Amino acid sequence: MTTLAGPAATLSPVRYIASLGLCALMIGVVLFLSPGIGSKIEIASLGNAWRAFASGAGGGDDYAIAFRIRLPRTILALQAGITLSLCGAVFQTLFRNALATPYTLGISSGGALGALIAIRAGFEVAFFGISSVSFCAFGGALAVVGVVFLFTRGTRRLTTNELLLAGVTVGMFCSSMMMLVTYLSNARQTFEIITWMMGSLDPIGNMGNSLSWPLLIPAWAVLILSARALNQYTLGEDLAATRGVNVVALQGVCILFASLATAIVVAFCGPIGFVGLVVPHLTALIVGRDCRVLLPAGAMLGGVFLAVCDWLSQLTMPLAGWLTGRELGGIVLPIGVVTAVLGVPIFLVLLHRRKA
Amino acid sequence: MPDADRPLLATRDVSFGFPERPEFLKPVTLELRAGQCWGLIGPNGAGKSTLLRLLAGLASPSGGTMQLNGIDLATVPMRERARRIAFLPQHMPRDLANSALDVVLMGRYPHRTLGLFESAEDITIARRCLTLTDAEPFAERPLATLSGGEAQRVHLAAALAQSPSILLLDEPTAALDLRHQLTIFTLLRQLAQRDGLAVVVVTHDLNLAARFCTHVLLLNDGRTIATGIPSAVLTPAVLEQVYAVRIAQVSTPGDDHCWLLPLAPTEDVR
Repeated sequence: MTTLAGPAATLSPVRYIASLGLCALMIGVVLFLSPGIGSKIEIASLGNAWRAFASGAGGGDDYAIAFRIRLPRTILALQAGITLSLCGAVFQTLFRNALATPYTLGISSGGALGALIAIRAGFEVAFFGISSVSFCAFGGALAVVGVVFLFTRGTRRLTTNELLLAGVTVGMFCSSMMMLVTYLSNARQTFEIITWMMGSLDPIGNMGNSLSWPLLIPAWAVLILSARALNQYTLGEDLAATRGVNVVALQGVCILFASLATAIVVAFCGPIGFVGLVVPHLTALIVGRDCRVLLPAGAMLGGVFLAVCDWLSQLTMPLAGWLTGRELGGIVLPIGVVTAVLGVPIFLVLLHRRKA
Repeated sequence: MPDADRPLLATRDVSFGFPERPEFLKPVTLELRAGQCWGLIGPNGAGKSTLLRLLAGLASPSGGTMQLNGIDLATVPMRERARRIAFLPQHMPRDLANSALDVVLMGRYPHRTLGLFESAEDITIARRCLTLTDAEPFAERPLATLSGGEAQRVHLAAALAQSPSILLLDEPTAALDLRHQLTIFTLLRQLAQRDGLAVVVVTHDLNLAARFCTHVLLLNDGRTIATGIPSAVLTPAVLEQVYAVRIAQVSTPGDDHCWLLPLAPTEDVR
């Protein structure tokens, strides 16, 4: 795989614990700050807010904003960021392709097509508090991966190029179907479609949470525990097989769990871009390409990156209003815009540094 | 070693075919014993790499039986097999950010079922293997910064770090300079005769095979032409037919070894 440079030192327990400890600390800081950051920054009252939270004596509007809106929103951002970055790193390793993302197999296009059909058809029903748009997006995402996987899976091992080509092709088919659905929609639906496509981190409610955690956490665990086998995989499928890695099982398990986790994120948050592409590379630059540390560190940094992007999406307009002295309102920028605006320059600089 | 007589790896009438060439490799019978260094030789497309992949367990034979220490190779668990057989493919990735030492440490994978980190013993073994292949000076450098021959020596060290009893190598000296061709073949011979490994090496260098291998297997068009000690198999008469090349045998003064010298392709096509 094309690699960005990074430290080549042998992984020691000290370096491992230091790297992951630092990432975990950043997650902790993000969680601690989150009740104080929304459309304005209220760090000063954080101590009181957490004390009220701990004593269970919360009440009032401020408390509701801090712990029923801001904190759940940040937790969702962490969930999505961890998933996308982790799955991106796994796919980049599995496909030996620096440009692979969690969406490479067409998950986002499939999910989007499902969501668009739900919006166009005007399904208003929510099952167990989860919108039918989310359900259709989840179904569409999994359907696409299923099609890609079944068509490329023969008796032989999967060749990664076949998978990539099939994923991109099916993704293109879904994109053109999305165009058709959009074309057949009225103005209100079209606006809804475009908004959905930009991604959103609006809290998903208790039912969404109780559905996503039991699926996401096992997926994260399986992917992170595959790290040593994935390291062998970077040396080539044949060599990995003679070292005792069951290559077919590794590919199948990684694709299954990464797709499942990504589909959940797409269903609840829409196709948030760039986290899954940029953060793994950024992490590799800091901690190296060893999957044992790259996967968990990349996952945590992905969560932090998306949470910070979410704060920026809420703070940008109020800040611009304050700077220009005009009332611009508390508009939340689409999260997909912020990740791209922040992610693209970082990625380009990395590419440039690789050439230098 | 429970039974000194039993071959480490034995094939009996093993054949293999691709969908487009169903009877590519004709039945091969081979017994690899401790202390032997086999050279697999033959023209391009003769089936050398295919036979090596079969021995490594990467492909299942379409006929015949294969036994590892008397047990059917297909039933040996992957990790167990990996502790006994190390395989070095012809083409290995070079653009890795990992250090040479890390690449060699990855060879210890089959020996550690649990645990995230390499032990001090693993690191000692890896460094010793790097020294054996003359790759210790660039142990800390990323693989991507090494030359082709240097990277090849690192990958060979990784195969050694796997601590196998059977070592299967596909053209391990293809990218090496003259000095390292000699040192690596000397090492392979030592591993076999001193440390009791069974080594199988695919090579196009007939002279290296003749000098360092204890046995050779000559393949042509998927068919075993001859097996035996090098001086019996590697004769101009046999080789001229297989390679369609006129070959001279020359001896250097003060050395009773004969060198094979390819002169020109023979006129008539086989």
